[in-house]
Amino acid sequence: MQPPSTPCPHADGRRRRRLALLGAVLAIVGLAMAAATPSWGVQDADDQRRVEEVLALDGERDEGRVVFEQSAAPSCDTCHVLGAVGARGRLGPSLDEMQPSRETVVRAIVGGEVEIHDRQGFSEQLDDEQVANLATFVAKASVDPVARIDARRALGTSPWVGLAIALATLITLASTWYAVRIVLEMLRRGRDA
Amino acid sequence: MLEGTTAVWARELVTLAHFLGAIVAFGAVLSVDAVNGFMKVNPKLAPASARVALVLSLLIWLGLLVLSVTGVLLLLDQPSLADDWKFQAKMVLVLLAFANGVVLNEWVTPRFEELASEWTEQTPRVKRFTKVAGASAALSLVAWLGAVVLGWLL
Repeated sequence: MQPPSTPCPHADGRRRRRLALLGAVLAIVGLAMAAATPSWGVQDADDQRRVEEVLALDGERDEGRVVFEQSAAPSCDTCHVLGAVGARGRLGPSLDEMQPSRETVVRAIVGGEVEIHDRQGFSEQLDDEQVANLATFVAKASVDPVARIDARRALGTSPWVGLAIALATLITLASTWYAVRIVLEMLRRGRDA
Repeated sequence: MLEGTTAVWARELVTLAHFLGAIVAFGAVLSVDAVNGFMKVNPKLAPASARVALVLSLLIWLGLLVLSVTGVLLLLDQPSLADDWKFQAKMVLVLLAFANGVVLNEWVTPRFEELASEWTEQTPRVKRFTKVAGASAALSLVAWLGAVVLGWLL
């Protein structure tokens, strides 16, 4: 027969120390992960300073369009809808619907604190002037009808638009004519049978 | 209409209708070719094939009707599409497929029905007709396939 076991007087102390050690390890790992993760929604002082510097610049709309369509890689139209330039990207939010202000675009690229996060590293890729131009272009093109005038002109100037519409009209009329003729023919055959 | 001003749901709906039109029309074109292929294997199927071809040609015209109406709406929403070489090549192929369809309807199908009774004998008239109809079917297939692929790439 074994003697009844008596609890070790040091066991509680050891358990507490182990728990404290585990907690410390977890806290260090958590802090390391937080430091390594891009901080969506949090801007550091450098970002904030750069936002202010970019906002102080006068952005050029036409230059911004070049950044939107060509300079950024991948180009902005890959992910965003912006009807003024026929952008049809589906991965990011629609800029036509969002109609972001100039400041919102700058903060999205430089600080990542709004809905259109910079997930492609545009902050490093584009210089301050390019960001300012891009923000001016997006802010105007998404709300200002003047920015859409080019597109409206295209409807009147490209001969292919007129040719395509003429062809479609011809096909519509001919298709209707042939479809009616075939249906009448089928009805006639049905009656004869 | 200004570029990009159409509501997203309306554009999606028109795009869906355009796809459905392409599926119906291109599907019917493939079916007509398949029916013609069966007829070559078994000439006795000629009279039945002529009847089926009539129904399929109705589907092709209805598909084209939907494609042309929805195509214009999509172009008006995004006129810059017209500057793309793929769009321009597609329009040429559509014109080709349409012209071929008119020839098929005006000449090939009536002649086919006329010759269906003598198909099994393979008379010189039938042989001549088969060559012309075969070329027309091949042209139709190439034009439609090209238009569908270019439309997909746009």
